[in-house]
This record gives sequence, structure tokens and C-alpha cells, in this order.
Amino acid sequence: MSIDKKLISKYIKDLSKELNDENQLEYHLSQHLRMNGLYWTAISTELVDSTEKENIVDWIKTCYYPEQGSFGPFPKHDPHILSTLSAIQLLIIFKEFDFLKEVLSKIFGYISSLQLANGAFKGDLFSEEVDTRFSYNSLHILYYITKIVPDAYEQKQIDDVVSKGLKYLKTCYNYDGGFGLRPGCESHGAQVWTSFASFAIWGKIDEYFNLQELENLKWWLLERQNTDGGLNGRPCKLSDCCYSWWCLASLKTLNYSKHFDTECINLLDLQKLKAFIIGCQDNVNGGISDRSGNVVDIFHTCFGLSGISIIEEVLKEEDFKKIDPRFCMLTESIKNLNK
Amino acid sequence: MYSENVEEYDYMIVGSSLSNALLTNVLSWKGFKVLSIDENDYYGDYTAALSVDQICDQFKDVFINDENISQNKTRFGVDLIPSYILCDSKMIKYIMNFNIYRYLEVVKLDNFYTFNAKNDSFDKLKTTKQDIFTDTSISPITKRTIMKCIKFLVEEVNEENQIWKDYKDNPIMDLFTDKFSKLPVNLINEFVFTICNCFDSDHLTTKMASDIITKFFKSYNVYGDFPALLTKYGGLGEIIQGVYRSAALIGNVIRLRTTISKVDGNIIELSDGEIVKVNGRIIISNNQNINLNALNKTKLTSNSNVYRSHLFVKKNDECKLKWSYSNINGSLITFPPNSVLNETDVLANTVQVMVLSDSLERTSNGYITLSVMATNKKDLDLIIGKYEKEGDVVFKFNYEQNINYSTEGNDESILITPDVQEPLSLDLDQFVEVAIGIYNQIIDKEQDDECDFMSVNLPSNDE
Amino acid sequence: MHGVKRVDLTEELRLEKEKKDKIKLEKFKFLSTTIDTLSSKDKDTEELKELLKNLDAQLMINSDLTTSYNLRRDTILKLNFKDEDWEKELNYTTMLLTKSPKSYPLWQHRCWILTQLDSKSYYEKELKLTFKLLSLDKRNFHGWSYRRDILDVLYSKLDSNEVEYLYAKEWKFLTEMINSDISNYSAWHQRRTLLLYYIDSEGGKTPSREFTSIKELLENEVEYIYQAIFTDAEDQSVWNYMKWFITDSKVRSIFSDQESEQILEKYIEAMHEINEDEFDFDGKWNKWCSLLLIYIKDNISTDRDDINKKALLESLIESDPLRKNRYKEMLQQK
Repeated sequence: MSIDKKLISKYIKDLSKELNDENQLEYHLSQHLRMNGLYWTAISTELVDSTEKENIVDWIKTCYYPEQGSFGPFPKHDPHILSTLSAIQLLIIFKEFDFLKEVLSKIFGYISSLQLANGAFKGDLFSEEVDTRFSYNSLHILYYITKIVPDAYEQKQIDDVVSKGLKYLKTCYNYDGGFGLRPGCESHGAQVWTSFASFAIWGKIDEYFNLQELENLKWWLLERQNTDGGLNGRPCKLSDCCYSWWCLASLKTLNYSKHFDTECINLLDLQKLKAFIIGCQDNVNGGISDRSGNVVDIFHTCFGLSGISIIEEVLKEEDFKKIDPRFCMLTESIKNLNK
Repeated sequence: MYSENVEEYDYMIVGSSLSNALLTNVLSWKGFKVLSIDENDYYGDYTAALSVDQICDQFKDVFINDENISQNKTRFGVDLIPSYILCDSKMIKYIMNFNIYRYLEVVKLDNFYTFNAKNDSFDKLKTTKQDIFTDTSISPITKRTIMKCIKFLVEEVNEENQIWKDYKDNPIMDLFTDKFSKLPVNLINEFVFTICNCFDSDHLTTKMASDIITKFFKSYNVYGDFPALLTKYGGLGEIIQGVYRSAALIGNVIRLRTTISKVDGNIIELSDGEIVKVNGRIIISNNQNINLNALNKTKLTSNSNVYRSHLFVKKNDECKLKWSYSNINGSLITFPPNSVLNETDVLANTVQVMVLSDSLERTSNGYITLSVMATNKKDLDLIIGKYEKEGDVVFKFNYEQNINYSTEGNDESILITPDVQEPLSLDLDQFVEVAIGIYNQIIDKEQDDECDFMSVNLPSNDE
Repeated sequence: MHGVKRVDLTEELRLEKEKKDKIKLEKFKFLSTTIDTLSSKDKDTEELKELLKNLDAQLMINSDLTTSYNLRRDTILKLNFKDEDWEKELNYTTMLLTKSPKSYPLWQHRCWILTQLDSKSYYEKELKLTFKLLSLDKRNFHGWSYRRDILDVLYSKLDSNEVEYLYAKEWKFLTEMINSDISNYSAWHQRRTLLLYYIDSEGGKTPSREFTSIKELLENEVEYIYQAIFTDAEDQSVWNYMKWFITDSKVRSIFSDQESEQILEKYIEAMHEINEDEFDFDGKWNKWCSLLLIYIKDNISTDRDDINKKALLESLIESDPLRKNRYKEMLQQK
């Protein structure tokens, strides 16, 4: 039993057609997420080796705010850090390095203006919304800066923002081992990934966490598997395919700590998890849903496939390309940055 | 004798019991042409809700000792078969799917009580997690047993569970004895006799009990904080009339006080002189005596008897029953088998009493309705005696209901509908199940298909 | 899409849906164009109001449009809102929230409205709103975190008596929430926050007169947890809370060493008792009792002989097969 790759490609093709058609309701209702949607689409496409990559760089440029180096989710929409990271990831996927360098050479000011005194990040300059997702987006982009345009800024400037950012993220760490949306908030699978992966990106896990804290995190993550094989995002909730990414990738990221030498995700029942994800594929339209029998979307398709990719890497079944648990980008894309 | 252009029908349904009503309505909305008749001058057949007036016509030995009742007989009514609707049930689904809720006013049933002979008291049902968690009188390990038992019956129902496999077809009492020995007797009584309405615990398997208990728990917090609902005013009769009103929207009209005069193959002459042709089967209730005779069918033999009694008690402050009706719509009181009422009186089997308050407006203000159900006459009399001692009983009538569920006597053209399987069960779903059963039989379905029965495209009134 | 069932629409229903979508689509397109035109020019008050009205309708169709909220806030600030206008804005967002209770920018917008208002009476209304939303969806983390934000704001705005009153109410709210559903992890999480608030507060404040000291409050908590693990020994919420409670240094600081030891003893005995009961039932020990016993032996009370880690781990391999590799690894590490 496995994911039907051809059906995934078909789903992506149908979806792209729908989303390019102004006469479809979805074209309009998904505008606020379009840039993210395109990133989810691109990752899904890469994972199933589909050759048909639609070139959307021109479109991405129409969402660009050149003064700041930021992007909106759709033409005429305001810039936001969520869509900015997605746009940058798309430029890496499409190997648009010239444009990428231009963006990254401008963006530092934008990112540092999103950071508050306590190290937290806002999502845009129009509101005061603070969320560990925005910390992750910013810290992730800063990593690309150091890799792609290392001479654009002083290293110390970047290090300051990063260490302030990580210090704040540590305050979102909870007694139960997870991370919440903000300090004091209940632990949540997606917040765990955005927080913990930030430490991993910057190689700082062991600087900020002792073994007991990491053991607590491991405990919390391992308890996310339900008897149906799927993972949930919080205790006593139903399984949801997208946590096959958020929680599984976090667990895999634990191996970036010196304390863990055996694969942490092996401590779950991976075969059962894989079967759960496969069960979420709609065998008619091809996409993947949150749970078997529900309506599919590109978000769950992307994270379901990414989850499978991690599982297969560890099980050495490797039917899918490898994905980096810290970035949700193909491992080869991240490796290429280092060249 | 017959002209060419007689009215043709797909099916004829004789008798307007709840299950026949449900069936008539579904068939009509599915596009079949259905002729419905009932020999009585009221809706409901053996499931009718009758006024005292009609009761006096139908039954002998009706005891009335109250001016108000004897002068206003139409203002007092009784359900021949008392019942409730669980909030997460097939009946609710039906009511919602066919928009029957428009014709109904429902209120919640307030609670279930179980007689506790040990201290001559009535225990309020204690089965929500919250009740158990916060009750300081239950020891911790007993809490554990109760919760574990509920969980087992509601959640562990799967073939991989060895204990479930071992016990599902055995009496649930065996499971309690072997696996939940710390479960208090009053809790067992609650599960078996109160929630499951059980009158024969030897035949209540773990699987059957689990189905009922699961449905009961799923019904919590769906509409209000108790799982069961009651209909106001005419009780069960309201639902039956609502269902016929739904059928009337698509042109099906039931003819009351109508009998069959003559039958010639599939050509039928009715008492009003009309001649019709019925192409499909005739579905007839076992209680339509005149019509059964006209079809040359004999009533199915009785399989068992149920003893029922309906009482009106005057509300007054000294009444010992006061706790069971103050500030409520209705409650259900269960006396488990072997309950010791006093030194000489011991019940042989379960007795259940549905208590309905005047807030339901089935009686004038100031009266309580008690409907007693038992499997033998002596038990019934003992409970009636108890109430006569404790309250001012001003109205009473008893009757014996014959229950038939054999299918003998049916043929290709005529189907005598069985009565419900569990005559003493109070959950209305049994009527829906009977209707689905007949539906599948006449539509020639191999499998039980509830989905098909329930799915009808009604014209939508939204937006 | 979360939790939306796939359905095969009949041809008839599909056409009906297409028709409805078409109407929605035209409406949305029209609104977006109008908003674009209006926002791109200098506006007088009437036009600002017009713009707001169009945004009302647009956000009704899609309540996740971050950019439209930005424009909305801009417009509101230009309009000099009076009390009744703010009231209307609150009602409007309440309506959207009941429709889309998981929309990030919508919750954010709600927060913004509150920052524009001075009166603390608004904040109390907000608490009531979250109460309503949380009774509809007990685990909505937006609702919970908004509730925390509001309590924080109120904490800074109210005098100490008012704060105490409010926190006492919060304690009652949480207790009722947990009483009705022990598996509500969110409520336990919040209960912990509040308990720490009381431990940290000066002058030994407690949420109710039944507790005359912090110590009494915590003793009550010991019993509350005790009853909860017996009522629902399968549920991880209470176990996580207990794990925190027996480990936390602030909690332990209220008790003497001997008392802490007694509490631990009470829990260990309870866990042994539950394990035994479970064993009688199906030959396995309880997963959570086993995990917590191991945790205690590893981290709190290493010299206990009545906790046999090896046996517990071996039973966990049976009782919790999903994580058997974890227990096997722990067996090897010993």
C-alpha cells in the first residue's frame, strides 16, 4: 500500500487549473493564502517527482514590495511574513537566485522591524499579532540570508536578532514539554515545530535546552499518536494528517541534539502512521485530507506527503525525495545552498 | 362490476400505528402512490394517544372519581404506549429529515430514577462523568469501576478486544459478575433495568445492552442536559399526526373510520363505496380486526402479554410522590425485579412508571399522569396499590396488550405487520426499525438499508 | 479543510451548488472591485462608511482576509468611532466569530478593537463571550488564548479586589469545565496557570473562602487530582497535570518534605491500586500509572523498592504497543 503519485499529480493539475480560473469561487476565496498555497503545491510536486513545474516567478513578482523585500499573498494584498517566507522558498525551488539575492539583500530591515523588544515577532506592520509562527518565518529567512547573501549584512546584526528571537521562543516552552502560541499558551503541535525547528536551524538546541527538557518534549510528541495510527496536535484530540508533519518533523528534529543518537521517530509505530496518511488520500480526485473520508486540500496534501517522506527515509523505503525536517524543503535544495 | 378507470395504488397501508405512519410517509415521498386507511376514528391504532372520552368508548372498567375529569373528558389524554425520544436516535433523524419538528413541541424528560429497596428510596440516575467525578459518597475505586464499565460498553466495542469477544453474546449480568464485581447493585439496576428498559435480563446480551447504553450516552448534551425528550400535548399521537401532515404535503391523505368491504384479487371496495386497485402489497396492522377479517386473514396469535395501567393523581402538598413531579416535565421510575415494597409485597419482575406532569398539557392543571408497565398482573397491581396508598388516584384504567411478532400468515399480497420487538421498551426507535424492516421487505432490499429509507429530497424552504 | 466530510453530490445537488457558488462569486468579485476603487482615492465620511459596508459583506464571505482587516482598521480610525459604533463593530465581529471561530486575523481584529476602548466593562463582556464560545468548542485554542490575554489586560486595569473577584470566578469556571469533562487538557493547562498565580500572590490569596490558606488550596488540589485519576485513568490530561504537580518546585515549597512525601505516597498507592484493578480486568497494568511510576522512580524518589521499573516497562510494551519501541529503548538504557 502506498500513496498514488499519479493521482497526486492529477490533483495538483486540477487544482492549479481551478486556482487560475477567475470564474471559480476558490480563486477568490483562497487569495489570502495563495502564496502559501503555491509553496505547498511546489513541495508536493517535488515530492512526487512531477516534472510539470508551472513557472510562477512572474506572478510572484507581482506580489513583491521592493522597498522592504517583502511579499503579499496575492497581488494587491498587504505584505506579511507568512507569504514572504513562502515566496522566498518558491524562489529557491525555482532556482531564481538573482531575484532571490535582491530580495534577501533588502529584507533584513523588514524582519528586524517586526521584532519586538522581548524578541517576539509580529506577522506584519499593520497589527500587533504575535505568534511563534512569525518567529519561525523570520528566523528561517535569516538563515537564507547567511547562506545566500552572507556579505549583505554584518553577522553580529543577524546574530542579535536570532538570539533575541530564540530567547523569546524559549519562554513559549511549557512544563509539559511542548510550545504554545505565546508564553503561557497551551502546547500545540504546529507551535512545537515552529519553535523547536527554529533552534535546530540555528544549531542551538543544546545551548537552550537540557536533557530533561528535551525528554519532556520527546514524551509530549510521542503521546501524539492515536490508536488509529495518526498523530494529533494536542492531547485528547482527533488525528489529523497535517500533524504527520508538525509533530513527526519535530520528533525528527530532536536528533539534532547531541543527546539523542537513535532515530527518535522510530519510537512511534511508523507503519501505522503511514497507513493512516495513505488512508487520507482521496482515490478519486487524488488529494489528501485531514482524516480519511474528508474533503482534501493542498495544505494536507503537502504535509501528508512530507510526513511520508520522513517516514520512508527512516524506514529506508525511500520512494519519495528526502525532506529536511527543519525547513520543510527538499534536503537537496538546502544542501545546494551550502555550495 | 368494476369500471375501467378505478384509482390505482402502488401500496395499501391499513392501520395508522406509528410504524405504519412512518412507512406511509417515506413511500409517498419516494414517489409511490399509497392508500392509507384505518378502521378507527382516531390516529395511531395500537400506538394511539387517546382522550379519556375515547378511552371510555374503547375500554371497560374505567375508574373516574373526579368531577373535573368526568365533565371535561376531552381535556385529559393518555398515551396507550408511553415512550420517549433519545436525542441521538433514528427517530430524531427522521423528525429532522422530514421536517416533522415543525409540528411538534418537545421538552426534555427530566430524569430517570431507580427504586432502591435497601433504603426505600429512589436513586437519581448517576451516570455522567461529572456526576461520578464530583460525588463524594462513591469510593475512588468504585468510581474507577463505574467509569471503566461505561467506557467498556461504549468505546471498547471491537472484535479485537478479547473480553468483548468473550462476553458480547452472553447476558450482560455475566459480564458484571465476572469483570466488574465492584459495581454497586444500584448501578447495575440502573444500567439494565432503567436505561435498557429490560424486563428479562437473561436475554439482555452485552451487545444489546451496549447498543442501548451507547445510544443513551451519545444523546447527552445534544438537546439539553438529559438524553431523552418528550412531546408536549398529545404525546406519541402528536408525532403520528405530524408524520401524516408531512405525507399530506405530497398528497397522501389517510382515511379514518374506513374499512374494506369487498376484495376481488387486487380490486378492493372500501366502506365509503370507492373501488380501488392495489398493484403492490397490502400492509396491515395486526390490530385492525375488521379489516383483517375482510381480507380473510386471522389475527396473529399472541406471543406475550404486557400489562399496562394509566392513572391520574391529584397534585397536593402531602402527596408522597411529590418529589417525582415537582418542577419537572416528566421522569421515569424503574422498580427492578425482586424489589421489596414492604414485608409482604415483593415484585417478581421489573415495573416501570412514566410520570408526566401537567406542564405537558396532556391533562388539566393539577394532575399527574402515571403510566405503569409490567409483565404480570400481580406486579402491576402491587405498584398501583402503592400509588393508591400514597396519592389521590382519581382516574384509572388497566389493560392487557397482546404482543405479536410472528410473521406467519403473510403471503405475496398481504403483509401483516409485526408489533415492535420489545413491547416495553420506551425508546421510539423500535417503531422506526419496524418501518425500515417492512420498507426493505417490500422494496426488495437484500440488506437493511436505513440510509435509503431516510433519504428523501424534500423541497427546501431555506434561503 | 478540517473535519469536512467528503460527499458525492447528486447531479441535481451539484448544479444547485454551482448556482449558489456563482452568486457568491459574483458578489465577492463585485465587492472586491468596489473596495479597490473606493480605497484608492481620497474619501469623505460617506465614502468611508460605504467602504466599511462593503468590507462587512466581503468579510462575511471570507473572514480570513488579513488585508481587508488592515483596510478596515484604517477606515475605522478615519471615521472617529463613537461608543455605539464600537459596540456595533464588536457585535459584527462576534457574529463573524460564531461563523469562523478559528480565524487568526479575525481574533486579531477583535483584540485591536479592545485596545481602542478604555472601559473595563468591555473586557468583562469579552470574558463572557469566550465563555460562550468555549462551551461550544471546549478546546478552541484561539478562545483560550484570547481569554488569557483579556485576563492579563484586566489584571493591569482593575484594582486588587476586582482582580481577586475575577480570578475566583475564573477558578470556578475552570473547575466546572473540568468537572464536566476531565479530558479537557486546555482547562487543566489554565488551571495550572491560575494555581501558580495564587502561589505567587502575596498575602495568601485563594480563589474561595473555603480555603483559608494556599496550603489548604493545594491540599484540595491533591484530593481533586486523586479523584480525577480514579474517575478517568485513561485520560492523559490529568496525568500530565499530576506529573507537573508532584514535580513543581513552587508547589513543593508550600509543603514540608514530609508532607510532599505523604502526597507522593498517596499517589503511588493509588497507582498501584489502579494497576491491580486493571490487571484483574484484562491482565494488563494501566499505561499511565506505569508511566508515572517510572517517572517518579527516575526523577523524584529513586530509592523506592515498590516500583519495579523493568516489570512496568515490560507491561507497557503490551499495554501501549504504539510506543513499544520507546519502552524497549528504555529497558536497554536502564
